[in-house]
Amino acid sequence: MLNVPDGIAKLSPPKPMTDDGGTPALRIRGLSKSFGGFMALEGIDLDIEQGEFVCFLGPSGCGKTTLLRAIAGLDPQNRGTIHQGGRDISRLPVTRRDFGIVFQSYALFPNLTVERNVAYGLHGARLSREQRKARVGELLAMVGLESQAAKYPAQLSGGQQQRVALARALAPSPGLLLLDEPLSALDAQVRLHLRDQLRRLQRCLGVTTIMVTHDQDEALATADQIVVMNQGVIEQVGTPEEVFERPASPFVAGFLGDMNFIPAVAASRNSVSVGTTQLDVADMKDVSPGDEVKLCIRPADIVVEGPSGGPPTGLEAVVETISFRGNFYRLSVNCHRIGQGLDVEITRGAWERLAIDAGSVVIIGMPASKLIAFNVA
Amino acid sequence: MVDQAPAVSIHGPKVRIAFSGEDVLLRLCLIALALFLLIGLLLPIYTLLSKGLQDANGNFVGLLNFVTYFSEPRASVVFWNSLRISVLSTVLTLAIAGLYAFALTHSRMPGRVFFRAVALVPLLTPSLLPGIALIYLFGNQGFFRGALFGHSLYGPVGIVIGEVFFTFPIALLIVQTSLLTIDRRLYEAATALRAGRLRTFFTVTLPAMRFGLGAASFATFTKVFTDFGVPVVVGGSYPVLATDLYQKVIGGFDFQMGAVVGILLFIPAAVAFVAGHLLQRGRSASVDGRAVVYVPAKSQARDLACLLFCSVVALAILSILVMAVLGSLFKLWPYNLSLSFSSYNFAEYEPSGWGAYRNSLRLSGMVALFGTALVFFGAYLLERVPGASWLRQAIGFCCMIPLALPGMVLGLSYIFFFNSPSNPFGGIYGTIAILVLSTVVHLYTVPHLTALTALKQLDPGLEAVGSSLKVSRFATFGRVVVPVCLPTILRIASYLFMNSMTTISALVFLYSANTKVATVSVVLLNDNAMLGPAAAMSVLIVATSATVVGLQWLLMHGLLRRTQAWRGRES
Repeated sequence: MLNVPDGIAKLSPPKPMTDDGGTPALRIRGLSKSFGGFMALEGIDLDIEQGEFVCFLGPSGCGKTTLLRAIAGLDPQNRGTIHQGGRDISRLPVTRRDFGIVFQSYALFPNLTVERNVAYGLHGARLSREQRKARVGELLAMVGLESQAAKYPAQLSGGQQQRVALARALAPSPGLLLLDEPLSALDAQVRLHLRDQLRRLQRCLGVTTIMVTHDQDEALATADQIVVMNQGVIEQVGTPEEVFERPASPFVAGFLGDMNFIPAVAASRNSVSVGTTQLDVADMKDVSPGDEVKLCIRPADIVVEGPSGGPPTGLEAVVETISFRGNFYRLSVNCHRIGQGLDVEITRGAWERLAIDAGSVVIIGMPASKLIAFNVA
Repeated sequence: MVDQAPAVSIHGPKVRIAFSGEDVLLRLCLIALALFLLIGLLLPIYTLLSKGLQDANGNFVGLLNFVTYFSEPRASVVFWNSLRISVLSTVLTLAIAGLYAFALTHSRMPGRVFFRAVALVPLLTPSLLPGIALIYLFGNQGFFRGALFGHSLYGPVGIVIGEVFFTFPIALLIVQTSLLTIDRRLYEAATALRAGRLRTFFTVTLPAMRFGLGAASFATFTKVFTDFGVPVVVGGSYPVLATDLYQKVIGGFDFQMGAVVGILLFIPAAVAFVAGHLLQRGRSASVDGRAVVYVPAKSQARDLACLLFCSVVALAILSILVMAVLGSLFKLWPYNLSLSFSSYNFAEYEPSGWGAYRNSLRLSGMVALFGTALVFFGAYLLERVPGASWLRQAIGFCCMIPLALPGMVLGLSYIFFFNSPSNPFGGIYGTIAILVLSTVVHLYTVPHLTALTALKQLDPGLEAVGSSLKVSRFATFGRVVVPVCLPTILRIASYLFMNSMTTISALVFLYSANTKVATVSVVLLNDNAMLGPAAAMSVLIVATSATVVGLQWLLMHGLLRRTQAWRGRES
């Protein structure tokens, strides 16, 4: 599988970091793209730093692939600029941009061997036959496919094909690596394995990388920065922890992981009234007292205790259904004071300790630090 | 770190990607293709249409020519003759081809591969051949003339039999395709719902065939309506539009009326073209590419009936072919039936002798060579090069027109267009170049669609990856696209060669003394009552077509075996 020999860093050195981050690897300003009357991208502004692994994450049709293709020059934007390492590439044709790309389908050349696929982009470079051969050998070693060099793509497994595509894209040492859902066509097991290998390889080579994905787990596990997109605009940019813990919009809150949404009304700058009770909320976004808000809390962040235990601010709730999910239990509970059902996750330990059945009464607590309120208007 | 920088106005200038040299070259290729279609197709058609609306001096007279044409009492007779022949032939062909296709796909009769191969034999023959064979069989001195119960072969009887033979494989292929795409699960569902065999046929099989039958009847109808080869041989004194057109233009030099008849010939084909387009649109949504292939259950009665039926049809097809071969070998039919090759001594019968056959080979070779290159690269430009979308759409539409354009109409329009003294391309008139050009244009659509289908199956990212690796599109085209599509390219070349060998319609207006081709020679020999040599020349054409198809098959197999490692499973 992927292994990175010591020599590899010497041959494909990470591009030198520009002095103080003044010139990012990629700077996008005011980028828009429409297909007919449909706005696929609208006013995109984004900076990507050298050596970062960035994921464009969003549901299908959100514009993430369109953005990637605009960066590659495959589907040029209608408006806006793209600078790569300080150079304006907005109007450059594909062949004069500096990137390697891996598609979901890999787009391997079916009539060329693995070796010649990888060497495809090395013919323009001023390399001798031996140098080219050495470079191909080293790339194949890097992705662990030396023994497959003479085979054709159709003779390889999906995961192997993916690694050939990766080696081919990296062969000319591009300044930017673009990955368009590179793992989506693979089986779950292979996908998990390859995504870690991909991450390790990227770290080692230091090549700035953008990966488009609709899989939030993939994005959370691999990215330095996640760009969450929806309906042609960027909803939030941040580290995986930031977008997960502090979503900037109800869309982001709902898209990454499970989330309970509870309609409420702001009571003060740091509390809301919901149903017949009041809750303290640490994170109130642009909310003034009296506003209608959407209150969010993740199922795993809700604290559950037995009828006697409970925190002082706890609310009584009745367990309606229980489903076993392997490492945890998912309960759906009905809380009268809040006036709606909630999803709750508890560990197996808590499950054993509390001995809950359908119909049991429990006390639930919603810590202020885990609650977020979004202005509905 | 990633930051969302302050928003910049989105009302900046519209971005235009700079052209690279490669883009300019590709754009020029696209324009060249557009010019080719303009000169080879659109302008000639335009000239023909405008000629139909002009008097002999070039003054616009509206529909006056049509009024004049139909006021001749003979004219409407010709028109109705054509219509009657076409309807009758279509009904018969459809009935036979429909049953035959059903037997091939929905029975387990033995010899299905053989029956399928025999059914395709007429594709190798010029449409002149069935007529000639029919004369030997049922003509005034034919072996089985009694079988017609006193009716004369020359006229509607001969034309209809010949046309059914000629159009049978076309209808069969279309209907068979529609039968093959029926999902087995539909039959299983019908059985599970306790539908009987008859009910299943009417609720599953027939509805699925409907589109195929519709398309096949359009194709058959237009083929018969515009065919020249069968009526010119066995039409006798029964005029149809195609032979009438030939006589008006070649016999009477009446170009105005020729243009009128040409336009009349074009009408049903144009209607079929539009109707087919509309039908196709409704159809595409209901087709599932992953249908499970139907495997018929055992049924002895059905299989026996199918076997009997197919045997009779196959026998009829083979006897026409065998009769033509025998006819070419008789020393002096019907007086001396000993066999000899004297009919192949063409120089004794025709001034051009074997030259006509050599011209046909030259023509077919050139059409296969230039046509394949043009069609495949043209389809590549349309399918896989981004940009200039309106131009590509317009060209894509023009590429479909030849399907609706009868060969005779194309040939006639070439006379009008290229024979005009003011045409700078007039120099090609009378040379083999105009034959090549007209044949490439005439045959353009089918190989174009074949090429498009193959190109659509390539991964859409191939060129993008190539470009990202700084390899030009032309290099990727040569190193990847062409090798991968080689079987398709071979198929296109063989299609073009074979059809150039057998075609007559456009060429009959365009040949000159030096460029007479084999099919024209057959017409002339037959006109001069030299049936033996006409049969011999036809047989030569069939033999050549068959050789090319065999060669293509061998090459294909060799190629597929050699490239099996990377092609995986592919037929």
